[in-house]
Amino acid sequence: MDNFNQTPEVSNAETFEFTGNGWEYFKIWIVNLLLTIITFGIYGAWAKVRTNRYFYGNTKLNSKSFDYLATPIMILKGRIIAVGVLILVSVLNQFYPIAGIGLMLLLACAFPWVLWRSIKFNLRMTSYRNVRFAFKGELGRMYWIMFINFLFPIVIAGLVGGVLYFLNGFDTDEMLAKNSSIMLMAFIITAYILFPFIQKLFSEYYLSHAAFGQGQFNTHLSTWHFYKPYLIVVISSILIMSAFALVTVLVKDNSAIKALMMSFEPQHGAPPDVGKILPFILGIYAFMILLFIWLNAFIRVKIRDHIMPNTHLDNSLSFLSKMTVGSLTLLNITNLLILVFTLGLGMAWVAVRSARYEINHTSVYSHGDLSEYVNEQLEHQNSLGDELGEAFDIDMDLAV
Amino acid sequence: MIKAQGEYYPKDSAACQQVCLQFQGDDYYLLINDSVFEQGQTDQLIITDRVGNIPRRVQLNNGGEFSTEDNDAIDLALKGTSKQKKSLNLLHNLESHWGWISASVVFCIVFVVLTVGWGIPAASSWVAMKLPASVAQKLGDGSLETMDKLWLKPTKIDETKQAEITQRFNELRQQLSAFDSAIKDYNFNLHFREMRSLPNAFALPSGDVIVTDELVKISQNQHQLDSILLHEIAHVVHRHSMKQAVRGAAFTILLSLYLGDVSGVAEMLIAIPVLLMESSYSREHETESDEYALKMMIEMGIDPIHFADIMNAMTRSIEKKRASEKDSSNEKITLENKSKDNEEQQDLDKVFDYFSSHPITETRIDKAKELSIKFRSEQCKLMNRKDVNLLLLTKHCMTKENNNL
Repeated sequence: MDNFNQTPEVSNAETFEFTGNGWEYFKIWIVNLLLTIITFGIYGAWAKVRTNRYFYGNTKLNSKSFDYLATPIMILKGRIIAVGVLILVSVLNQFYPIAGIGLMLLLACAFPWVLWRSIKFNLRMTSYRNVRFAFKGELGRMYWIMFINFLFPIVIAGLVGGVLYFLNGFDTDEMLAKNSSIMLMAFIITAYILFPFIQKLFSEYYLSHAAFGQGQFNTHLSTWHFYKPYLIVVISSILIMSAFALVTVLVKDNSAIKALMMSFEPQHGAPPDVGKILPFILGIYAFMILLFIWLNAFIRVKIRDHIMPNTHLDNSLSFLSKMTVGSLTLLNITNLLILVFTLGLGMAWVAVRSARYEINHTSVYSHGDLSEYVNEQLEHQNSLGDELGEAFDIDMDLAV
Repeated sequence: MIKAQGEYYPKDSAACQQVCLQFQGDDYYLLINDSVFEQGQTDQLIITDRVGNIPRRVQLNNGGEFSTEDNDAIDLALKGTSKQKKSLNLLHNLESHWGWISASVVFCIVFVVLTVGWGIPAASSWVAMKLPASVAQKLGDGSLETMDKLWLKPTKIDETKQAEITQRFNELRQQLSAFDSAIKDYNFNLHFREMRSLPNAFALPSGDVIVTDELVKISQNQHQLDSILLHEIAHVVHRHSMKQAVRGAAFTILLSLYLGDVSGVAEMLIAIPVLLMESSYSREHETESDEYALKMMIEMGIDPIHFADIMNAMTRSIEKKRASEKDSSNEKITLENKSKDNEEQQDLDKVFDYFSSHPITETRIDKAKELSIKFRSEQCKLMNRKDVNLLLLTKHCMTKENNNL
């Protein structure tokens, strides 16, 4: 029997609610921007705390809001350390390149640890009705996931290299260049093929070890349900590209198209006239952007639809996603238009709309009483993990 | 007395009760069902900053927490207390004051415009010029090979002619190095190619300059070709391609940082603004190269009119080629339509000028003609002086002869 995607028995259904609005957030956002610029980024720590407090504080379940508990000083400390490490790496690279490379390798090995600390920090700084969340996952598992993520494609690329060496040899420069690019392709293709699996591993790891007070989250995910949406997207893309190619072949001999193509050439000793190319390029871009948004929405909704119903808090709470591909696509398209027509100033409204959509389309089904949960005592964790993660641009994508 | 309704959570518990927090004088009183449950001094309370209208949390003496939606009541209660408490709301006051909001909007817009309009381009140019010439060399490596595969064909110009032009090219470089010492840093190479019977020339950052067969054909004298070669040399010396690359990268990174991962299309969206910016900068590059070429021509004593002439020749040649291609597709163009097309074309040209990567050819030709007039009048002045001296000398000789006679 298929245990997945079953709607849990409905007892008490509650939908999350987002109570913020664009104007209110815009005021916070623009002052954040002003002060961050003036202070060369130092105010950024305060800006981050205010932003998160605004979004968490306006997220309500059962009329009670969430809280973001980190203080600006915590964030600032972490950022200062991150910048310090960056400077150290730059200086070393300049004067002692070998040491510089060594340090960078060390940082690469520390990356899973930083990510792990980041997750722990963020969850511990989140609370609902005075009870904090927590993350209890083991560091070893994080390393294992990262290992598969990075080293597996390297191994495959190495194997491909071995085969090539056997077939062609690496003697000439040309052979070396050709073989290297094939190996690189192998690496990239393997990484892409692996991606949904890594996403599943990571989601599982994160959700199975998240805790709310004394309660433990648990989840049961299927790898196939992660691959399915991506496969559909890839096949659709191939079909669409083929349709395009077909159209191109059919109109190749059309004189109007030929005249159009001529205008793309370099003229009068200058680069091609962008003025003539622009409408053409814009048209193609517009189509690709719409397609891209739609495909992205498709993947996000399908994966969310799989993760949420299969995630529970102890045996008391289950979750449900009410997002649809159509409405999410529409949201993202309108967000994009807002950004374009406000030349980026509309960012605040875009953030609020996205949050409102996501939060208002998530529901909780409960059997017991939330109030029973009590805060669990955790050892004091500093903010190091969180901000190191940020400075080196680590993005955590849970697709939820 | 100030009252605020809200919820009370005992320490480390999620159970809550509806309560009322009252402020009177310097004290606070927590009332549950109208009986005082907890009290203390307002100064002892730890209150969170106000952010918009999110619930305000107040930590009481006993470690319990009071949470209320009534931010205004809390603000009022804080008004009477010590300065320390008042500063909690500084940020919220900034965020509520329309004056500050407007100032912030103006400041941010000005900052962005300055950074994008001046800061980044200036920094990119500086970086591009500071890099050693060998980096520029590497940038162009392989480009010519790619172009040979895609649109260029081997030249049909005979070897003696090629040698002649290459000789002239090297002469120009020699002469230029007197006016611009940077020339010596680059390894220039002149190449000849056939490109679909169109006249054209371009330069790669590596110092490779390519001229097409048709361009050589339509140039009526050496100086016309000179002006084109000088223009291309200018591109290399000013490192236009490198500046473009650095600038494009800088814009892309900044835009990415700002947009984050908003609609999931940030990556695609970024290319368009970057492309738009780059096309207007390309125009500047072209103008800069024109100015360099014209300036050097004047320094070397070559009439700028030759630049105008070759531009005209190229325009005629390209239009002829376009017309012949249209004919070969069996499209009938009546005379009326043709003149209408030209007008429309000129209007379209003007509209696209902003988006265009090269300044309109008319403008370039006019500029060259202007400088030519100046050049000639300068020459005339010089000639006149020479002529006067010659006249005086002749007169002197003649007088002398007369005297001898």
